[in-house]
Amino acid sequence: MFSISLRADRLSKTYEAGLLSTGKCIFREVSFEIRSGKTFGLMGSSGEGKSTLGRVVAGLEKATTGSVYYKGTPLTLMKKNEKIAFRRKVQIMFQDPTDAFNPRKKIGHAISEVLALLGVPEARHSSKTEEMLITTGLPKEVLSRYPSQISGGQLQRLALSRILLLDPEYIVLDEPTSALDVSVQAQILHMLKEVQTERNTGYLLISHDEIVIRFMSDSYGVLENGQLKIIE
Amino acid sequence: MSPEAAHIESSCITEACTEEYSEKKREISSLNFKFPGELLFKISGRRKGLKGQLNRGGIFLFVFFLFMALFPSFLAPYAPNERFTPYKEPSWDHFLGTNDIGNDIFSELVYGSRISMTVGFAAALVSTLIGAILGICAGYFRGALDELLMGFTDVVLIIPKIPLIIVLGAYLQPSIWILIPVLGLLSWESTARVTRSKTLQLREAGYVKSARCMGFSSWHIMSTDIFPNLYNVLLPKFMLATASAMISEASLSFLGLSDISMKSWGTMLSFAFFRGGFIRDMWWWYTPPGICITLCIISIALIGFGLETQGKEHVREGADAM
Amino acid sequence: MSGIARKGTRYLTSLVLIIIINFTLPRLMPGDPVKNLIGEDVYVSENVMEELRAKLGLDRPLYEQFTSFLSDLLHLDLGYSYHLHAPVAELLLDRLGWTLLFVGVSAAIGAFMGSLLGALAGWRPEKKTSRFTGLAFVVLSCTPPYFLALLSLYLFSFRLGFFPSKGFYDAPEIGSILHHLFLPVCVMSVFSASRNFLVMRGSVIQEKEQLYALYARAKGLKDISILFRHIIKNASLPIITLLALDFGFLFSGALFIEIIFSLNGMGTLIYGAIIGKDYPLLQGAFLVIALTALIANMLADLLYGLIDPRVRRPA
Repeated sequence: MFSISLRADRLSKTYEAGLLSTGKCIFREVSFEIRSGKTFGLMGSSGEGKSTLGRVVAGLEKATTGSVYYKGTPLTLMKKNEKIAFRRKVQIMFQDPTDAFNPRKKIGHAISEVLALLGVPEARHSSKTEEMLITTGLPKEVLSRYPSQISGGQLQRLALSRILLLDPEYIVLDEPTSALDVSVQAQILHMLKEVQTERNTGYLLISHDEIVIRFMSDSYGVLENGQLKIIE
Repeated sequence: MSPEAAHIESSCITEACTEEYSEKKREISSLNFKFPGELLFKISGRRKGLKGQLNRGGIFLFVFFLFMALFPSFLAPYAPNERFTPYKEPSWDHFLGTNDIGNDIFSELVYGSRISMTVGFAAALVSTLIGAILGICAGYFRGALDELLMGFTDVVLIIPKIPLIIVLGAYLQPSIWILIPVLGLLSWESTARVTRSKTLQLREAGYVKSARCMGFSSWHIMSTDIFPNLYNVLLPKFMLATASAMISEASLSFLGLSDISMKSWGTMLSFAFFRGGFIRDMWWWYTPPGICITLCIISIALIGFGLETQGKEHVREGADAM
Repeated sequence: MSGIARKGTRYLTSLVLIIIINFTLPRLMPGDPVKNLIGEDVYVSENVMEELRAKLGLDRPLYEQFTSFLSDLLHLDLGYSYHLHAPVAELLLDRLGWTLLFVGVSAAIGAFMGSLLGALAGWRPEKKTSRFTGLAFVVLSCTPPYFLALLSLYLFSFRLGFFPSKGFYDAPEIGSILHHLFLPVCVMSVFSASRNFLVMRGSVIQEKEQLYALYARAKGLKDISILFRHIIKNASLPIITLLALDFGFLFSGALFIEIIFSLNGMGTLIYGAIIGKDYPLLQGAFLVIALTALIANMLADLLYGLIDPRVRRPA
């Protein structure tokens, strides 16, 4: 067990019986590990809870039992500065790229926001943004457009590059290509692979598409009936 | 009915759809104006022409009153404080005659629009802001804070506002600067509810989740991602709150609890009744202010509804976000 | 069970809040608390002020004052109106009956008329009469209540002399009472009706599209009978809650109408208290009104729970 990895340890998530629904167990005793530079694939049919698991690993939701370990420390026991570091280093990329951007903000604005968050002085915003655009191969015009005016593929690339600005160590990819045209899917996957080789990022790839999983992952598991079966 | 009854804040059927059933009845009962709007659009719904007409009529009336409030000197022949012979009947000199101390009633009417509408808008602003802030916080943070805030809202909802305002008004010096915050502080519940619903929806959007993931502070997310998307919910609420505040102000002025130095339409009515206008059969004194109040409120309510029905489609779509 | 617990807490908290407000208000407001507790325009010498201060317990610590306040409440002692030289509770009780009568009758009539017209309008929203009544009620809802009262007073009382303009009765007999009350009850009912109309109409329109209505029509039931036999029962649910909850609003509105018609109910009492700055009376009135509204809310909740089987079904 490398202490650098992002590890899930016996995670379970149950929705309690409430006023309007009966209790539901989403997953139970799920354990796996994501290593730097490697991809762990998570497969399962829709609605099984893969996305929820992804969100738990990324720290957006809390698990009912079990913990997520980052650098050997469980999330629940982290101190404030450790938590901030975790936030930066573990990112999540969503399925629907149009949803990933605030429809009322221009792309340029959205990028600047992130740069400001990182503490980049305003004077250097434009140069950094240009750098980013060149790496992802997007034209400069996208900066002045609203998300609704840009194609799905370009948006997904922008979403990825925005995440990369934060220099994450791990990225949870929640169905990164499902909302895109077949022609664009390959582009995105290649881009992801490139980034992984360059930056040694670890991926948690969530998808219902077996081909995508096989293409990208070093190892994967299938989430079925709340249990994870690790293959390979 | 009392100002609360004509409490043009409607908690809306849209809310009833998005919230639990058991809350529905509370909403429907504490509501009222939702229906006139729905009514109007159902009345006019079959024929696009009529709907458009009502809408345009509302806007036209509203602009007219706004004009009256902003540029009173254009319409009013005299200053409202100028004194002439009291108790005069309408004539060419004085369209609506003069009141008990000799002020020209027509000029009073025109200048009065300023006060009535200012109080209305200001109080609505206060109430909308409070409701929005509480709603956003409740919806964004959820959990204990949400329960607390909503519980607090529920509790305040029960307390009858007008009697409270009366007691407060009797203790404090009647002044506009007291009236506005008091009116505002007592009518934010419905806005808070609606804002909370919408925030709960918005919170699930991908960009909000991404923002949280990237580490933006809650404050940043609330102000840049959530708040700007609330406009189409807040604006109709604001208009309806204005109408409600205007009726409340009119009622309070009638009781003499408003600023006497600032003659709003309600104060005019109060003077007319209590200073002999009624006994002397001076219908030209007390009828115009009442009509103005009614028309102004109708126009604002129409606009508020127009905006609300527009927004309804968006809300309906996300209605199952809960 | 937690549903009931939650509701119970809500009402309890409201009750506590109301009592606290009542307690802190005179002590918080600007000015001498003694004056706040006995009313402004009451002339007393310095000695009497000191006596009163002691009597009202203003020199004692706050929690002691609060406990004595609570015990007073439980003994139904709402203070003394120095202005009118009578205990507040007595004054209020005197007038409360009349106002309740007035409000109750108007609410009932209004609910009935409003629901009926609303149901009919909802059933056939395209007809001219439906549109017309709808529009009329909307305009009525936008009108300040006392303004309508004023107009009707003018028209029917002064001009046409149909009805007397003052007081509850000339002679304490039923005919006179009815005569005097007719106009105010009419005005009040119109307001109550407008709210009920709109709610009922909306309700019927919603219910109309439910499957059971279509089924009834398929069964071959005549038009209006579908309305009355099936839809009304479901559509009435909001009305029931509205009626109980409305009570608070109607009460407030009634105050204004009473003033216009010079009826000797709580409205005129409160108005007199405002003019005379009779704080204890106003406090007591607020307490009574707030409590009435609270009780009405609770009844509404209870009633709704009993009547609507959907809510009763366990989750």
